[in-house]
Amino acid sequence: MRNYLLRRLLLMIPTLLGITVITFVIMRVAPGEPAAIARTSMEGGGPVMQAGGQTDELIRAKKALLGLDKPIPVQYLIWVRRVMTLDFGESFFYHQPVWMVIAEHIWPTLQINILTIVLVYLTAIPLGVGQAVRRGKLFDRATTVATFALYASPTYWIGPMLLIFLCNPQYCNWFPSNGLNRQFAEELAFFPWLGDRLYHLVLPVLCQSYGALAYLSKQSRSGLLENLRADYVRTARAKGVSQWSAVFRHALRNSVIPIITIMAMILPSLIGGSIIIEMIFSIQGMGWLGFNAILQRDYPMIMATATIAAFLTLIGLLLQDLLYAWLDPRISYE
Amino acid sequence: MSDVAVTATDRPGEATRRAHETYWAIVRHQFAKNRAAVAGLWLVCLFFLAAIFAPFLANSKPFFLCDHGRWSFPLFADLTSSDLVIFAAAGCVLLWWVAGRVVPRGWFGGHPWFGMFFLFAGLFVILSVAIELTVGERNDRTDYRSLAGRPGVRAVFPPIRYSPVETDLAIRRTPPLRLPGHYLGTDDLGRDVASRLLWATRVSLAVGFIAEGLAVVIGVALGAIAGYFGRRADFIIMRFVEVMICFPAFFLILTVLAFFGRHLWLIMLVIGLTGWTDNARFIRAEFLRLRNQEYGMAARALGLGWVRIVFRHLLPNGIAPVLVNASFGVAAAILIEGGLSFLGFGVAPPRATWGTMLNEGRENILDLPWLIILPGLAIFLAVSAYNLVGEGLRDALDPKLREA
Repeated sequence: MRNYLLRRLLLMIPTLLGITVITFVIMRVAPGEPAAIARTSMEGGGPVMQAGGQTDELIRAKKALLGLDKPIPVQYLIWVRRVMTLDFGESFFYHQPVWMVIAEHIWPTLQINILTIVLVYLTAIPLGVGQAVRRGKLFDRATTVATFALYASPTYWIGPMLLIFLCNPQYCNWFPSNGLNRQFAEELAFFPWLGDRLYHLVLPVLCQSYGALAYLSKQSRSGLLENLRADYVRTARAKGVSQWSAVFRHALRNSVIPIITIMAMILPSLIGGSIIIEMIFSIQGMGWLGFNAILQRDYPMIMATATIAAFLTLIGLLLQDLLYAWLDPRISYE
Repeated sequence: MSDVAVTATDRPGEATRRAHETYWAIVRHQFAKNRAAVAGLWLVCLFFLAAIFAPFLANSKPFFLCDHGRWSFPLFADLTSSDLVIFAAAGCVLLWWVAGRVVPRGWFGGHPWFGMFFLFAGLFVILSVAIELTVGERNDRTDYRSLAGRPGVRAVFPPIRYSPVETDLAIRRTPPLRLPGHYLGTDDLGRDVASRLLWATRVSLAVGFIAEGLAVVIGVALGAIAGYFGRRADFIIMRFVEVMICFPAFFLILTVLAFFGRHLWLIMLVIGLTGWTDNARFIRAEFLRLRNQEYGMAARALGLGWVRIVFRHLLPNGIAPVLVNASFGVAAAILIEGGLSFLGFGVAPPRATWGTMLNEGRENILDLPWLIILPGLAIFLAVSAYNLVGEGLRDALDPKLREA
């Protein structure tokens, strides 16, 4: 087991290098000058830029300042050396270390995704079990159609529809349409503040969770159905085990594989966030940060976002394989 | 043909009836029994018809116009070269299908459809080059709708009398079913929503099919190399697959489009280039399994070349999981394209796509809800249709479910 773990961890290194090389090359072979873009985005900001005419010399000075004057392979190696010490450099746009900017924007995303995971697991598995046990009945058919429909509905349709029908004085004005807190929420005591925050997170969390919910309930339904047909469940029933116990203690335990798989799928978005959902609900989380980094050609920020997302995906896959082996003794990596 | 067909015909009652059926005939039979999947297939066909015949369904020009005895055909005269290329593609596919049924068995090595693919692909390329070379710019700006209202003039218009790009600020923001002719209302610039929805079908289907087609070609090629040759090729390709799996794909696609510009071909290319990994993994797994089965070993023992073994012996028996995955992949590509357009990185305006319409609708979300509801519904229907077809295919190909 230790050998397996070591091998997997070592194989992560070339994978991460591959991902960062591709991202780096894509950014750098693209036409356009980040130095010139930095000028327009900080109109009248730096003293160098006050000079009016943007001469070639100024651009060259700016490039040297940002380290963009060296050949691309050299720049990449410099970047790798820095990242070895967990230093992602300084954001071109915020003029702050990338870590600090990320630390500012990570909380909304983390909150949304932790609530999402709790919601998905609390609802999808019981739903899947209920469907499998009542296979072919009205409940099963209705919810199967509903989850199929949810699975095919894009968040960029459901999100705006929630805004239209639930945050609209013309229909129901039940929820706030954007932001994380109401105005002057800082003055509130902790629990009213928490309530206000949760109230603001209802719609984003709903939006973030329904896809995973539909997928997980579908998977647990079909996994459970397969096991309910198995001989060992019939044996358990024959020797007098209750239906409840046969489902939960025998069949469900053998249907955990999809439940783990979806965990590995959600983990990257835990930090990465969803660009679309954060745009719809005007939440300044990690997705928003990554999207703006792309718009502003903030190279260090883009590299950091891609690297962190890739790293989390790798960890998710590793955890998934380890959990498979831990929970299912038939799976072994020796 | 494969072991799958053998298990399917194992039951004594059906064996006699099915003994002569090929594997794919059985699959088709199973698919036809699944009503939801058949409905999905019909929906896909409907979307295709809408995409191909969009100029005949929503256009500001009449099919024919009779002005005091002088006849003209403005709609046909104004078809652009891309319209004609689409017709040529549809015609070639139709001819290919008909030819595959008509040509006697035994021609083209017993696989008429596979054998004639390149024939009709070549015909399509020749036709489209000819069209691009001969058809010039179209700029017929006559207002046929007011012309048709005059006495002595007769005209027959398509069901929707508005083109997707013509603006009319006098009737902007009309809700659906309010103005005659504008069945689904107008948008912020007074463009007809129904017409835009219909024309947008083209972009979505093109992105879905071409991007996923690219993903299938790359995935099958790399998966086949990895699975057939194994060893070092397998190791390298699987490491590459791992890199691509761990990529934050949507983020990467956005980066590419933001940095290189919003071109339709670039959107298809990047979606295809990031979406092939599942196909490669499926084909590799199938090849690892099939290579060491008796007929795979027999083919090698006979000394056949690897091209023949891969394409004639292994691929036809290992393509099933890729077909299922491709169906879901088309749906995923449509979703991604919609998301890109929603964020403002889709095809450049004024061309309509469903995602772009959603993006435009976001600006006045509370006042003009139909600009969100209708294009989203179109995406939802298209994605559902492909998912239904994919699930139907999967169930039809799965011998375990067939016995249940």
